Amino acid sequence: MSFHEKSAWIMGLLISLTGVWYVSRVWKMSQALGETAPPTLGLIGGATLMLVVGAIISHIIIASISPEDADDTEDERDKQVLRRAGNISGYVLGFGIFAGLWHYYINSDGNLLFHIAVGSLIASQVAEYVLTILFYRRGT
Amino acid sequence: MAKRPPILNRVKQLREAHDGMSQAALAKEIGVTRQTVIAIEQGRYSPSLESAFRIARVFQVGLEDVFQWDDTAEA
Repeated sequence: MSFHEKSAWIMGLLISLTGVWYVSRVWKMSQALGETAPPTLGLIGGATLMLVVGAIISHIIIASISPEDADDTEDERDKQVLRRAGNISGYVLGFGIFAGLWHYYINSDGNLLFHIAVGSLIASQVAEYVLTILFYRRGT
Repeated sequence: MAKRPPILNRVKQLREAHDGMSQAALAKEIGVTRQTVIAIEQGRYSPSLESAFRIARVFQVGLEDVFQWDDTAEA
């Protein structure tokens, strides 16, 4: 398994966990308030910190396990896989944002628009890593 | 499942006939990762024209001695 594929597994898992944590916190806060919880810096900051610290630690671990793979630069296949996965994940982000904007236009709930945008960003990143793994395993 | 490219290749046979050249050594010669050589040998990836020529040059054979169009794949 290449370093890029290992990285995709780890980042996909980390972002999924961060996404679940974010959604569950927003859900609980919204239930307590009786309306969509407003975005809070603590929640966004916490999610970002979890992701950055997790990514650094996990990449240090996989690089130390196979240092020769970590030195690999992107070759033509890596570039093709990453470009295709990034392209399709862009559609996921676009669809989510579009849905959020329409939701805001109809319901005028800015808080929900914010959470939909964050959720779309997380979903598009998860899609990108899942597709990266798929394309590495099955070909583009 | 992703459609396999309709191109057959003899990279593995040529590599083994070339003093048992390793996948890592071939990868280094043509400027790709070992995983890409594995994917080419398994038919999961069709290399760029430049890499195809580089592979043929490593084994000192023609391009069509390494890669062949798979007519059965089009049926």
